[in-house]
Amino acid sequence: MSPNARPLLIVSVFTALAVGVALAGEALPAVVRWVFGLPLALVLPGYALTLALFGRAFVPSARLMLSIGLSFIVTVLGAFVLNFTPAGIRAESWAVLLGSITLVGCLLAYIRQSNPSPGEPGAEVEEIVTAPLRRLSSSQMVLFGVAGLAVAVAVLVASIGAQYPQTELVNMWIKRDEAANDLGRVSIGVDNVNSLTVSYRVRVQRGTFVVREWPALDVATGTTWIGTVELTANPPGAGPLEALLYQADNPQQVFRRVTLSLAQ
Amino acid sequence: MSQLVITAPAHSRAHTATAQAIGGGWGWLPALSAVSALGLVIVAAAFTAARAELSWALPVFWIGYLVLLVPPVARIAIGTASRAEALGTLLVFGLGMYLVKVLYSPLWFSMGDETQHWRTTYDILQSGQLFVRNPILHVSPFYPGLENPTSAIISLTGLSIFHGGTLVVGVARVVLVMGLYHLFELATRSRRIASIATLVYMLGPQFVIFDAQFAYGSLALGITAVVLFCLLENTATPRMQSTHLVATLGVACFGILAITVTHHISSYVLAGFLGLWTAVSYIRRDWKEQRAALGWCTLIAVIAGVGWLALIATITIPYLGLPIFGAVEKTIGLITGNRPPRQMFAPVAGKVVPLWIRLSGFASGGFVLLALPWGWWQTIRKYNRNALAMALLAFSIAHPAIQVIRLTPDGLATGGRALSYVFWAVGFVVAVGFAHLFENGRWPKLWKTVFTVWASTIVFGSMAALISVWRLPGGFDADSYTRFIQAEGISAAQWARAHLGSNNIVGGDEANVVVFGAYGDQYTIGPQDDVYIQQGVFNAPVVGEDQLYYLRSVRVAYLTYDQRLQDLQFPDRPKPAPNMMETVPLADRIFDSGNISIYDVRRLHAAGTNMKGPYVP
Repeated sequence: MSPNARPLLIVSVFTALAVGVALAGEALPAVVRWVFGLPLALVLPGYALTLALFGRAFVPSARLMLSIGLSFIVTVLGAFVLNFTPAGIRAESWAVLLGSITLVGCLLAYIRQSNPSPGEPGAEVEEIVTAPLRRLSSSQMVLFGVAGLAVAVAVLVASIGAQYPQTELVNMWIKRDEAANDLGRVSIGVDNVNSLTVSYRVRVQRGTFVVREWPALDVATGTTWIGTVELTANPPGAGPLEALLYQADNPQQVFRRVTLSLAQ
Repeated sequence: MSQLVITAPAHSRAHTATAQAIGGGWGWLPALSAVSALGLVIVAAAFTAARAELSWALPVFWIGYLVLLVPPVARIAIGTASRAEALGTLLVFGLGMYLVKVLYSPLWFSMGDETQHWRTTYDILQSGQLFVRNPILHVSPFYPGLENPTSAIISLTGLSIFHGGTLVVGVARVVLVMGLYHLFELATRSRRIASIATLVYMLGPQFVIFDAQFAYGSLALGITAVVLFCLLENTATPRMQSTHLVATLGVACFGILAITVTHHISSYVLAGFLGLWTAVSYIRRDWKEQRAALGWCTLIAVIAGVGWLALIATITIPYLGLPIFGAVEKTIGLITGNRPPRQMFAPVAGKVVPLWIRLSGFASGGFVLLALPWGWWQTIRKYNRNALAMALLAFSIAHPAIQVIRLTPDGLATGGRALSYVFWAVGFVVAVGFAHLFENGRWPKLWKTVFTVWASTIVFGSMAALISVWRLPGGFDADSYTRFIQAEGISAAQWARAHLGSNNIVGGDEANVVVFGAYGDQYTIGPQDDVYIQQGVFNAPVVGEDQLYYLRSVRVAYLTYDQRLQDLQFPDRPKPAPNMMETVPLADRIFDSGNISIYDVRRLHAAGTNMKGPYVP
């Protein structure tokens, strides 16, 4: 096998595997799907088409640019093709489309390489251009590693900062169980999204009549508490049903309030 | 440098280009990458401090920003870098800037435009079809170019829309930077000019935030670079190399089609620029061979753009027409003296913008204008036999004109969008001017220092010119559309999606309808539907029969009410502003997150009323 054909074979095998991974879908670990899915969407179709259309007429950096650019063109326009197929725009149809284009591109590139046009650069030019890649010294590798690590740290620092905004996020909600008979069952929920305060009191009332009360609730950060109230046809009190949430450390102040009319 | 005519065979040019790379290693790139990455860490720390409202956040941000960006500028000014090092340095600069935007909001899309495209992507993933009506940006489904590769990535990898979209825009930026570099290198055969031109393009004010958004223009720019590169390669290829000619022309044509369905403005600007390039090719007889390819591509771009607009995306006409005509009208008013100019760096919420920020903002625009005449002169001197160079020169003349448009209130957005394209030409022209000084000037070291200061000032000024809340993240801010999209609104929207089901007609304040339309999967109605619940209902002194009639007429099922936004409507009233929705007996307050409430108003409507989208007036 010629040195130029080897990358095409590797790409073809990788593409076949990537199509298989895409068809397997969620059955596989996320990392496996990333490793195979990202090149299939972003690089491989364009890479195969670039080699098929231009051979090695361009320097590697230009080929990389064309590979990604052509992959974008393929996915932008390819969705229109998928839109008019019965399968629609789904993981399976993307995998088949992008896989087919890549494999056909590899085949055409192989044919082209077997019959090179006069003056087309061969492997030796490739060798010269890729030499700097191999000339990366150990100190340079360390510096690139430090750069990569620093970027990861930056993303981590910013993400942690964004995850814990100053605003205390606690949601209260009320919802009628539509399937229940008469006025039926009413669900009341408290979502503690990010608050460090975890102790609450919930009171459900109609006018001055207390329908139900949960005097001490622990709702841990990131969890939801749901309570239910069964209502009879003519519950005591007047007006809408009102659910009030109090924080344990501020028991007099209504923290959240939701209402539900009992009229159907 | 001698005058250049691109006549060499493509393959031999490739040989020449590759030969130039011989011996070229990574140079300073590894060290420079590490320093710039350290700058990113400092920026991230500043952002975290800003979220905690610590006072040192802003100065630390500036330090990090300059540590991130000044070293690449200096390295490009010094020159003598191999292609690998030059391209790597430019990518460090371009991706570094992009990461600043990503670090600003690392968990979700926080800009209005981004949430609009989030919804189109979501609709494609849910339905498996294109052209599903998007309630928060009606025009978006007709230009799904950005969403198509994003949906491909998400479908194949299982990534979230945020991560998939962030990746697509980042990779598109890589294509843009590499495409511009190779385009300018091919046009001038000068690695120095290519490096400087690409760098100057990235100094533009649009590059920091606007072109880094998950929005259709960000991808279209990258594909445009590929199209122009292929077209230039085509015009420079000898006619006997038919395979190469067909291949380059084919990629250019498919690229034009991809841009047409990706972004309206990009497709029109590309058609205009191709027309200009074609027209320029008629000036000289020896450019005759270029005309056919350029002419055909111009024709395809025009037919595709106009055809898509007239047959498929007719909704684009009022969407683009109104702001463009508004900007033109106000610019004419400004020139004739009938309208005052926009107050630049106006006080925000009573806070006066510091003098040094105003000065650096003005300097960033002024420095570009100062460099242009010299660049024009040198471009005419050196590249008057290069059709693309002459076309870029002509295109760059639009830059001063855009500055006038940007002086009007409506022109800020319109002119800002135009800068994304005009700065290509500005970068090229200015690069030719500086390269001449570096190579032929009497004091090359001095000029390199001048360039470093010039470029750093523009980078600094471009960021300084942004409103302050775009520089640093933080809590809810009344004066910024960006800061409306916060965890509380997203949490409320996600609750709505989980508990109320999809596609209910939801109205309310203009910020939360965007959030609910995206993250809540609701069919939100607002000004784009000619529905004004804020003005028609929330701003009324009482919710009376007129307001209830209005709510019934728009078939709204749920209302969002944000206490913070209502407090802003009437700053002179005591806080908190009275919540009039509490006085509506048929409205149930079914959700409360402290600031945001959701009201169920379905009982306002007669039995059997359809309160699901799409909303048709």
